[in-house]
Amino acid sequence: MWSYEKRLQYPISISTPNAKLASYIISQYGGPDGELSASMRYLSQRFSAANPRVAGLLTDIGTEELAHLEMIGAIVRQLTKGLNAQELEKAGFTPYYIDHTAGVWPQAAGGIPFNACEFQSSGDAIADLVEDLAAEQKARKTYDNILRVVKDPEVADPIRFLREREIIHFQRFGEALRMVQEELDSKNFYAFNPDFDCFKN
Amino acid sequence: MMRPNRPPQMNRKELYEWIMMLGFCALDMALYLDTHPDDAEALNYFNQCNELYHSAKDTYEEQFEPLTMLPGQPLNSWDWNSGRMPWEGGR
Repeated sequence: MWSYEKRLQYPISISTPNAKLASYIISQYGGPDGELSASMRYLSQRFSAANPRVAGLLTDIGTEELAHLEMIGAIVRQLTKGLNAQELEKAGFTPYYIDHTAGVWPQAAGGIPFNACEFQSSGDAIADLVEDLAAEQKARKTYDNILRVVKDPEVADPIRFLREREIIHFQRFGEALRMVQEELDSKNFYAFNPDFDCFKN
Repeated sequence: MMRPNRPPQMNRKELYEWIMMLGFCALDMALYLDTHPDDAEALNYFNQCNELYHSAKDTYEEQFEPLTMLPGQPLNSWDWNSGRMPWEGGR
């Protein structure tokens, strides 16, 4: 179960709204490599993680990703707050505004809605952890792309924090993969996951 | 590892950011301990951060508002969902 803590993981205080930036950054809310995808991936995969330490890590990182989802929502909110329809139109925000006004809804920068097909929960610990490593790199890549177009330091600062967290999670998932591989039979050279076939009631 | 130093007199904003810092230290150490459970130095640092975090959170909740729905002390009024939400910024 979860309990909410009434604070962001990292401070966000943006003084100048900028709907154009919001339309890019929303990709980390509901885009293919975004925080919703990340949290749902890890929090779903943990149910079949046979190693309790790996299941625990997936729970803890999945929970931190929910805090990152909140941070991205806060950035989008603050970048669009108080703008009128004309200002939103000038920023190219109208297609989004027509359906969602200035609400926060999970979609990619290109307008594609969030889709659970953006992540897997394969039931295979090795397949899942290798996906998780890639997912952290893909999220880091999106933050790098965002940072190349963001000039406002009040926006870039929390984005840099989020980018650094992807790097830490990549490290932790690398260690988790090693833990799972060390449990395999030494003859299991290609690292097939034996959990499903070995399961006995 | 260095023990986080509490700045002396803190206003509400500074205390709130101090809680963020300590919460972050404790969380980052928790993830590290998830894959390095036998690292005694890391565990010691986690314990220091966690203790400071709880003491700062208690102070904030006593002086200002609850940070969690089930705070550590009795409430005089239901302040849980009053005031500015964290995503509105400018705290």
